[in-house]
Amino acid sequence: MRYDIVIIGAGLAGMAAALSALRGKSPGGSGDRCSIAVVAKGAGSFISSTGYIHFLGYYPAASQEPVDNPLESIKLLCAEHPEHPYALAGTEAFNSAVADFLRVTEEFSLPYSGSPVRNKLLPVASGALIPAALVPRSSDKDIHQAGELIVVGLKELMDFYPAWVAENLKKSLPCPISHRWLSLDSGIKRALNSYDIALTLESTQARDQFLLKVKPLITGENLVLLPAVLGLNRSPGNDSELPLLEVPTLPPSVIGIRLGEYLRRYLMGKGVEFIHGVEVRSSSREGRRCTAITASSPSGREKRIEGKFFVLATGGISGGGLEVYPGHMEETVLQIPVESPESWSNDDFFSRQGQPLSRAGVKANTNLQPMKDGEILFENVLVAGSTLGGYDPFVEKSGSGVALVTGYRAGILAAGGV
Amino acid sequence: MKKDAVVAVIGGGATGTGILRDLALRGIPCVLVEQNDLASGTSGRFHGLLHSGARYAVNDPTSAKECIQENRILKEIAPHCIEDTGGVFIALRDDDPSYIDKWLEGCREAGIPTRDMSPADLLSEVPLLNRDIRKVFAVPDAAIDGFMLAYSNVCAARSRGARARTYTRVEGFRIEDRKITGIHLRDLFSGSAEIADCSFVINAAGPWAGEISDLAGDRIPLLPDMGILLAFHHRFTGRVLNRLRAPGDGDIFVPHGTVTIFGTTSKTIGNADGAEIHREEVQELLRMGSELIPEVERMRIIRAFAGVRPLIQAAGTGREATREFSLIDHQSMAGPANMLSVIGGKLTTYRHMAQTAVDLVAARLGIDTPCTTHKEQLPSPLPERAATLEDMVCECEMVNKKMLLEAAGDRDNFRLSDLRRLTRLGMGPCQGTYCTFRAACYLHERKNISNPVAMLTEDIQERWKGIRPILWGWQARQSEIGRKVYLGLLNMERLQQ
Repeated sequence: MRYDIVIIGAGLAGMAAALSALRGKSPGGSGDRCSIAVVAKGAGSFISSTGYIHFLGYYPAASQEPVDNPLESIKLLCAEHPEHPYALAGTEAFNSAVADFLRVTEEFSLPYSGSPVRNKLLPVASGALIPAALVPRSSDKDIHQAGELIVVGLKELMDFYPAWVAENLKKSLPCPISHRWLSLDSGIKRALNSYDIALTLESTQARDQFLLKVKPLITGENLVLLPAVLGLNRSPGNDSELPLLEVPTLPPSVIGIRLGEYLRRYLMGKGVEFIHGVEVRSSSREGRRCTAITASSPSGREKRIEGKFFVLATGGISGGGLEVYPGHMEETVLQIPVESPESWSNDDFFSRQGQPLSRAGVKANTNLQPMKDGEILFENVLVAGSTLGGYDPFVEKSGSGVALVTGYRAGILAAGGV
Repeated sequence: MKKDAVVAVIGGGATGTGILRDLALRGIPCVLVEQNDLASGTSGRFHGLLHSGARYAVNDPTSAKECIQENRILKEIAPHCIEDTGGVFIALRDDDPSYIDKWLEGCREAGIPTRDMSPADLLSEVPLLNRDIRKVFAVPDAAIDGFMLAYSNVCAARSRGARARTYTRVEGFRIEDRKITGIHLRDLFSGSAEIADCSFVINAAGPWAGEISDLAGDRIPLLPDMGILLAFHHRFTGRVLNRLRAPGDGDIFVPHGTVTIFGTTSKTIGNADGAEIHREEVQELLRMGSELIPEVERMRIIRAFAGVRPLIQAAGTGREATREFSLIDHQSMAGPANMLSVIGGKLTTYRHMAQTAVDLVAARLGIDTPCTTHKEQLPSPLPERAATLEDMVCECEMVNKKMLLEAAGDRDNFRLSDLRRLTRLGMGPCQGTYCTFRAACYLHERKNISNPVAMLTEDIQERWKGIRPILWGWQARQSEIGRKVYLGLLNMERLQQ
């Protein structure tokens, strides 16, 4: 198998790379559209993300106050931390990534709204507010404008507790906040997760029936907060006009899964080939070029995939793109050595300084080519998303933003022949 | 005995709770105070091994004899705390062969039954073992749950009118004419202080016994000795595995429920609260363990923890110190005349220690009721495990909402770790990533918890402590997922308490 561009990883970084690569011509110069494959073991970390695009939530990372204008703060961040992935990707990629993302989400009927110069604050399942720049239009509701909030829980759902959410929201919002329990009355006798419930609410009929229970709660200026379970397919429909706000839950997080699924379907429709369920742990190289990767299926069958350019978007430690050994770290596809920090963790799990281990990752230049001791390791490999080091996505709330921007930049570079 | 005589027991480990039960069974009014939860110190931080005594057969024959006697008694009276796995002693090809005969002779002397077993049979049972085995002997070792044992002791004592108070710290003694007449106590949840009257004090505070003794004006030469233990995420042996050689570090594996506990080490530390585990120590421990289980360095560890042994300084350090226990009658020292300190020993022989201590106290109080703790069955008081998937909170360990409420009982103030010890909440492979949040949220709604956010974050911090020294491989992944959930999805670090 041979492609112009081989993207390893089907998370947001890999998808963003495929999206921008689609805009490019074949790097061979034949004038044809380039052929693109996404090779992936799993479905990225959509399942454990809010589904929002968080460019930068807090800067400096330790501050309690959220960033108001992410783009402006990112400029300060880049000046201070030239190793940060945003500094490597540059502002040009940033702007085109945002524009293209908003355009295609509109095109595939899961429209996102917002802008990189203004963070919104949205509630999460802990009752905290989280800063996010781009959100599904159905979630683009200003919680601060509501006269009253009613947090609704579902008895069957084991991951969302409305009394907890309501009590903690009161710490940051002045309006009256109450909570309510509802039941799906589905007759299912086991605890369900958000994904299970989204499946049972997939049909318009089931969803309408459930919304009949919610509608009586809607009066006057109030806003009803629901766990995000209203179907996996969330194209604009008759309920999107209701004053309902879906709150992201513990994994499986339905808003994140939706984004991943819509993106994948869109890219497949545009001719991007997806090779799913295979792991890439080895590669062939000639000098400073990667010539092919070997994808192996769980049963051990191996497939050699050749490419002109490779995008490494395999995730960080949690995604399996980086492996931690006692005493050292390594990138898993090309075995790129990763500098591990002196001390791996600090004693506060919730430290706003982040954890040194989460900050570790592959070093790259401004062309996103992997670097070691000032030398380019692979000229035709571009690194994107949390495989990159130099930042802690969890504490600064930048994971999806970095994935979108660096992935998009990697796709442009690959399609343009770097 | 004066009518209002009350014996106060300090320390809620196996020894303290065993003493409480013994006192209660003899009809002696008693109260126990513990600064944390039951068995949260040494009794909850060890291999979970009910010794057959074979480990001590050569170096410490008295302990060996006591172990086998108590091993038999506990299997009779506390079967719900014990999984009778049996154990094996394995001599590898490179181990000193002359030790085997000495060991067999020691076992025979102590009355410990040993059965010659074929290495091939053991290898088919535990295929991960080093194949280079010289000899294998089966012994009656078993796995024991230290928390359940302490909790059952307390329940037995309570049914006879005894009281036990956890999260209550001893801050001093009221001493009149060289006699303790009261204990200054502080409730660690409410912060309130009080004085509890008492006529005798038994100090069973384990590695903290020196601090308690200091409060009474006596100095005990205590030597806190730290041992590191590792919990592997699966049960790769059905029996306890021991090395057949002089007792050393990293030579015991104990199957426990769904996991395997491996240890341990021996290092003198400054004080009982100063146990800190470093990655290098874990790596060294694993290297030693790889002699018996060559794959051990590549297996997934879910947690590292440390227990602190209270050794007596005069008797040598670390492995040379005796594992026998000492009774210190403060009458013979400068301190109060009505205080006894019970130091050292092993969990396996806790009942015998308690009996010896209470015999002495009873005699001093003029009571001649004999000990019955070896005859009476311990109650089995734990919440019943969920049988269906309804109202599930922790899927790894099948804990539902009803079990959580039962475990919390009538308390409004507790820690999630208290419920964990009762239910196994969050003990599985995800180490509480999901269920800790669910449990905190659910209990917040059903109980009147003063600071539920703090209850949740404190528990996560506690688990983090056990993960930091083993932050590699799958556990590094799991902890990154945990950060992703709690920081990335829940923004917990910005949520005000």
